[in-house]
Amino acid sequence: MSVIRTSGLGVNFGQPVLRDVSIDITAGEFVALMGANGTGKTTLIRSLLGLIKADEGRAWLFDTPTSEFRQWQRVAYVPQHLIAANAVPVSVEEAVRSALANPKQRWRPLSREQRSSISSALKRVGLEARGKDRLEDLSGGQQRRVMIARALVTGADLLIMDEPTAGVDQGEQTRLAGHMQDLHEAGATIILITHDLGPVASLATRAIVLGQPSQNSVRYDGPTPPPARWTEHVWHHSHDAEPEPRLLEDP
Amino acid sequence: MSLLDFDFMRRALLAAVVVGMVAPAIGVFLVQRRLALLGDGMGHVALTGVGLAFLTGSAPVPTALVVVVAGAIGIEVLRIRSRSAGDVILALVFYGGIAGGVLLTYLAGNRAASSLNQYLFGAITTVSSQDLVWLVGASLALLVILAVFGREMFAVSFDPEVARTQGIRTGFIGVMITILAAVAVVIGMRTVGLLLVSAVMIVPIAAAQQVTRSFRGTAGVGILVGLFSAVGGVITSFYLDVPSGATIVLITLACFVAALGLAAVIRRTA
Repeated sequence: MSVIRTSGLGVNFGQPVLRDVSIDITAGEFVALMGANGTGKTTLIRSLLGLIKADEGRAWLFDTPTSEFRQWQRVAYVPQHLIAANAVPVSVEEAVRSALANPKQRWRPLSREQRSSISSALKRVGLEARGKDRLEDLSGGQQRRVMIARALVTGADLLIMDEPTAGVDQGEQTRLAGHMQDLHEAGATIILITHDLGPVASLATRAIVLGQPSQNSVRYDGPTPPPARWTEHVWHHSHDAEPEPRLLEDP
Repeated sequence: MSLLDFDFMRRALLAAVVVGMVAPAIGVFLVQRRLALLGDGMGHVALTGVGLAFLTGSAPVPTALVVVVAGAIGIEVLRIRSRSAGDVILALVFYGGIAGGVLLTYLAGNRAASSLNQYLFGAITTVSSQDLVWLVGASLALLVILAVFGREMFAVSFDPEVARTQGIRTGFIGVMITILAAVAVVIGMRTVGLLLVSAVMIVPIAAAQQVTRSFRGTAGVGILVGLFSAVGGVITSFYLDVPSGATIVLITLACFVAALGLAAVIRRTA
């Protein structure tokens, strides 16, 4: 089943940011969405989630046009930004619980299962002892884990994470990669925006590399790791065999 | 004689309980959305409603309620549609609201102008039974809406972008929060006055957040501070024969200073 599909998707902010993006991601894939700064990785995701309007082309989530998509409980989004400074204190538990706010459950209190899923999600990310603490008292890496716990609690089958390892030390990156592996093994489709595969190099089954939108934003779409010549930044990790790309023009 | 022997004091105390509870309950969302001054803007819009009531001879509370809800919707539409920043929109509302109120009150004649002070600075002892029915009704409606939409309101205030990906209509919830703030302003109008009502929404939350670790805790402690300040303010103003609105706000500010001290002690002992 197709989880995400786009056809000729394009977004302009005065000038093209994304052009002619046609991808098809099926259930159970672990996709690394890569590219240099300004190549439209976050824009692509925001457009898929309906946070910005695409200027060209079409997009589908779970085979439904994004404009008609309503099964949002199937999607969990971990944005790039951290919520480090709330005006009002927010506890770690409340941050996770916020993922369960759902217009369809407006008239019903949270069930016992939902309430217990909050503590199990925090336990899975190793933060069960910090549930009552202020979110802003946690380190950047721990806050990322809270955001992953938020995604876990929804039971979503599509998890989209925007640079979850940015600004996080090596140990925390490895721990985050472990959580992603657990989710993937549990059957979730994972899309990870990243500059650098780092500890998820062995987990991602597919890489999509975006470049400047001269004609077509997608520079490479194939198995991981993408060959160095298809990326527009330094590839830090060694790889033995260079896989054959399915696409596209020479960079 | 006890203060409860007076009808007007019983009404005043009930109005104080309503304001002390409702104003911080919605104020916590305004603080989280960094819209602490929205209540002030709404207060100015309500002044236009009061002026309109004077001019048309209608009851001030329901008239102000209608005008202020229309103003709340207008603010949200301008925030979304115009190219002006949020604080500029609030400034426009401040100016328009107060100018409209003063003009309409002037057109209504001298008697209206002399009663305007009751609405600007509060005159809790003049709260009528009819006012009380409106205040209690509006407060109950507000509390029901908070109970039903509270989770979505929190999600939108906490992270609006992620809230959208949860299928929450963030624009609708934003308008709702502004409308609830407008209703809270009208609820507080007779007690603390339009120029001071925002303080009862914001200062209890500012005090609570010094010593709490969660949103729910902040709302709970804020409501307790609001109740203590509003009831304490009414009782103090009765015995000292001083204006109720200003007394309530000064007690709220004293609570804030006490919370700062308490937070410092907690930090030192932690």
